[in-house]
Amino acid sequence: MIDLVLGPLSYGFMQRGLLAALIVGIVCAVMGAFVVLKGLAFIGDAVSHAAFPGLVVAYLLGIPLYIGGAVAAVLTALAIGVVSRRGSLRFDTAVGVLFAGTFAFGILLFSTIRGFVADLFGYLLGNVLGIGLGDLIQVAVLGAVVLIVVLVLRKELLYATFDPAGAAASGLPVTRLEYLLLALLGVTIVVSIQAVGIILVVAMLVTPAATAQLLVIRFDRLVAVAVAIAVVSTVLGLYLSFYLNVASGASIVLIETLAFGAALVFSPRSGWLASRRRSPGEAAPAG
Amino acid sequence: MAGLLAPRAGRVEILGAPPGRHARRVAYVPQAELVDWAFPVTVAEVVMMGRYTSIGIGRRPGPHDHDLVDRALTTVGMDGARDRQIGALSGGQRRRVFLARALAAEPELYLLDEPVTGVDATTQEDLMDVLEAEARAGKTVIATTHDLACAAHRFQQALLINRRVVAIGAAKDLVLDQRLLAETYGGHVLILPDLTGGTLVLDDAHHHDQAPEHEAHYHEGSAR
Repeated sequence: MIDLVLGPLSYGFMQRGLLAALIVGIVCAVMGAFVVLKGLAFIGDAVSHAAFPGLVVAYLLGIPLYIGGAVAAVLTALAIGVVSRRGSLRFDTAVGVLFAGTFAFGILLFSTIRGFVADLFGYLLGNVLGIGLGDLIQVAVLGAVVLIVVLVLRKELLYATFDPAGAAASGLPVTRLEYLLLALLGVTIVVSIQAVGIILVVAMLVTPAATAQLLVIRFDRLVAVAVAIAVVSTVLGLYLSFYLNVASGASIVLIETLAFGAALVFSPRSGWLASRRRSPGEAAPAG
Repeated sequence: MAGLLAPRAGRVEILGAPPGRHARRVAYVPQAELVDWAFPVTVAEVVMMGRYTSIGIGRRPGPHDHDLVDRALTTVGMDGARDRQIGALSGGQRRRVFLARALAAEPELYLLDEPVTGVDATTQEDLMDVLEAEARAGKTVIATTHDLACAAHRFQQALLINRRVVAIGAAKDLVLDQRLLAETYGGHVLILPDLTGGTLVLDDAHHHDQAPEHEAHYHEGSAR
């Protein structure tokens, strides 16, 4: 049994991968709390796809892929912020157009590259077990930056998310806080792409926080529960990936999804079973 | 006036400066519909938000802040519900909590948007009692409302608006003036007072004789 747990850790790639995936999982869970409460899931998906052309351009220019992805992701996140403030289109329409357009541009560039580019495929589908030491350090530094900023501005971000008008009237710079949140989201997504790939990043952001929202009613506890779910899912997912030789990002996301399903059914606060006991035939009560 | 919108014309001064400059001395109570009620915050946490700008970035609430939150919750009669999620409360209770948040901020000026609309009579009376006590303590209370009875009964001054200023004066006199009301509510006052978009802005400024000179009000087209 102990061998089952410790055995994989004798490999360097597993140590690095586990560490990177844990950092990504924790940062995503914390940012995910804001994503879920502010309804930014679609934006998260859009930003992660928009990072792709940035990665390809960086590859073509021979600069670190990370930088290209980060620039593209943060710019897109801020552009979405601007569009949401002054647009004649419906917000989700504008995001949808932007999102597909930037991704198409990335694929177009990608198709001009001759031969198979393992690096770029890694970003599409994610392969945290292939992460190198340099990338791991980048993940750790960027993750720490995001966590520290959120920790320092916890109160202000919470107020601005819950009641923007009240927060603005009390003197908080709500617009700047919103842009900051979007920029942090961009950084988080770029950091996470390494672990789970562009297509699954949104699940890392949304699923743990959504699960926690079914279980608790306080913001601090929501973050704590989301982080716990992310940590457990990451560890289980990576071991699953190791022993069954399946994709690591997909394993992590699937276990998080299972946790969400379990909470949906069994949550004592808002689960289907609990609400059936309370009021047969009626919908679950709000709150 | 809360500094949320820029005036299209004219000028607003709050406590002698443009709106927003003295945000810490102003408490704004928004309409109930503008808040996400499913949000995972408790009653006490919402009230503590009133203290956030005073506490400052990166710092945690101190004993003084907790004390003010406790007192505000007691004042509005919600001290028994401090750990409940905000969305689990009734409409009237939510209004009480938002007033408590304003109280906890210790402002000089209260700005309330439809504070008693859709609230039961007991809550309405309680909230107005609290505001009246604040006014007696020297604070300024400004509210928008469609409730004429409440306006006449509770406020000293009224400003009647329907795209432009219709009248300003003692609340008791204005709300009894049929002609002014007809103009404010577009002639439908007796039939559909709430649907025509006239907004009654009431100013319960001062129980003292002179209005403080640092205050100037300007309302531009606030009819919705």
